[in-house]
Amino acid sequence: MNMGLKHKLILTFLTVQIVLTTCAGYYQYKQQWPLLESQSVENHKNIARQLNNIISLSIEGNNYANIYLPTFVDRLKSMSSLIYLEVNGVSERSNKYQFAYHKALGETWRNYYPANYSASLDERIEKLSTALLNKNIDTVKVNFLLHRIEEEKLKYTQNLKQKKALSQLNLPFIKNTPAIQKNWMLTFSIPSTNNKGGNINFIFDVSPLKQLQDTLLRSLLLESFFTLSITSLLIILAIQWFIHPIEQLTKHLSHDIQAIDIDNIPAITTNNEIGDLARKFKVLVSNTSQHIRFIEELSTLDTLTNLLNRRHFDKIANDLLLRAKQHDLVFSLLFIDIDNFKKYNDNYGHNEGDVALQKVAATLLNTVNKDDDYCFRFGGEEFLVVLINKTHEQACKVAKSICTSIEDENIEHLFNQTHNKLTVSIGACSIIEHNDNVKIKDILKNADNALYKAKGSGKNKVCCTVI
Amino acid sequence: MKSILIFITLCLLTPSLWANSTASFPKNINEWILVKESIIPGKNVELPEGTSLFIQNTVRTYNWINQGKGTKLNIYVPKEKLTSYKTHGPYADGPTAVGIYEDSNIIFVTEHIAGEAIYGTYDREGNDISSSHPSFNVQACIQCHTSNKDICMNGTCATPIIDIFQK
Repeated sequence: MNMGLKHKLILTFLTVQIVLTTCAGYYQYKQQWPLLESQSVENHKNIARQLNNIISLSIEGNNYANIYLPTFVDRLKSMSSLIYLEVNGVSERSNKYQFAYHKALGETWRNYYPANYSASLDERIEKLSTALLNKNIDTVKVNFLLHRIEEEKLKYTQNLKQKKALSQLNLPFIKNTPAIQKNWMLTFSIPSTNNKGGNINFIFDVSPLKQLQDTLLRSLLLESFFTLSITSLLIILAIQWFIHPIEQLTKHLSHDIQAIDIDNIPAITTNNEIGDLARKFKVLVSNTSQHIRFIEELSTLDTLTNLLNRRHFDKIANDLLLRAKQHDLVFSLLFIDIDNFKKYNDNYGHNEGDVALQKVAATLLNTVNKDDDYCFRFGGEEFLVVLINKTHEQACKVAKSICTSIEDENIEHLFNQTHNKLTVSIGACSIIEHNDNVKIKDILKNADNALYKAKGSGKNKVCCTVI
Repeated sequence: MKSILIFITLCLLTPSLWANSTASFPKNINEWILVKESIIPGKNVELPEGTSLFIQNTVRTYNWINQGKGTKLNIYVPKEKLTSYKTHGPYADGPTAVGIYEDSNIIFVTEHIAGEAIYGTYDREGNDISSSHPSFNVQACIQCHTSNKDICMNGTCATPIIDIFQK
């Protein structure tokens, strides 16, 4: 595709602008997004830290009652973004301590039981049941204890079910360092504060971050779009302002050099490089036009007589005939030949011959209408005159007038018998009714025949003919 | 299924026990042996760095006593249970220990039946005061003593609070 300078500049600048705006937007995103991410992580870590005290206390005392407390479970539930909590710790007497919570299950459950836990519960129940057989025993107290152990047993069964249900949930692996998973789950672990240590692992739902990310991307895109729109507009206007004078100058100079109006060259008064260019062009065009005119004159005029030369006749004769035909005007051609000119040259010398030719030419120009008629030096002592918009009679009259005027010049020519001065014979041919078959060569031939007749009838004569 | 039915039945039969002391007020406390002297620090007392979470929690729960000034805490054990007290069980049936807030007229009672601990809160006259404050409630006792299995063994605590000030 052939693009102009303007389009190339616009395309280049716009490309650069798009690249810069995109880079700037990407850089801003890279600056802002990690801040939002770390802020969210820190917020959730603060939420997590609030639970550390009660959890660490529970780990320390190997206390599972705390994690079943409705206040504790409700507290976990109230943390709307908390999906999963998992505790692994070591109690004060180095017992393994584990519990978990999942939002979907809505409860906390003990994750670890010693191997003989269920059996020890049965044993305690058995012991209390035996105690009930004792008549002196306070049955209210024993029943209270039985109730408590049955409660523990029921909890044990429930916890096993919850543990099984948890294994069916697809939970991500939780590392110590905070990580946001692809499904917008934030996972991290914090250490418990009890003496023997432990980890509290969290999974939080951070899907609101996605909305923040969308909002951030939207605002950056919008910002980039506006920046791009405004800068693009400014770039186009600037390029237009810069290129317009060049375009005008180019348009102005795209005409034929001689048709260029050098007095109205655009941007010539501009005080910058374009103005300098315009001014230099003006000088160049002016000089070139002069040279062209000179060369044209050289190629058009006969250097001796200053009449139009034969080459120019060949060039314009058909056009003149066509013009006459289009306007239905009479086209006449006068074929003029100086009588006995060879003898003139032989006897008076070529220099005098040249002077005689110049005088004949001057007489021709004086006799014809310079605005409508054309005079040519056809070669040697032969001249042609083309008359347009004159009747055949008028053309003959002009021919006779030429003949008389040259005779009246009284240029001595003793070797021109009977006249003793320079005379011319003229054969005239007029096209009265135009015909597509009539060409210039036919007219020339007819005029030449007429000239031959004029010569034959004693010279210094005019012989007229029509086609 | 059987255990669930027993559980439901017990739930229906013993709702009143949830609110009142389960352990009985023991007789002849005056004859019991003083085994430990400790304190509940006042509200303004700052606990030493590294104090266990359990003690921090216990102090937080009871430092309102005596208008926030704290109290002396003495532990008494009946003579016949002195040996098992030293080993934190196993305990025979009957009252095992009392913890007395000497400056506040409050007595915490621990009793054992079939090796299981039960609790009660009384004043010196033997009136059940377990409903007078959430921290005196039997459930609070269970929550602290029975649930913290690694600190309170068989219903009697292994770490007196005063120890942290003596280090």
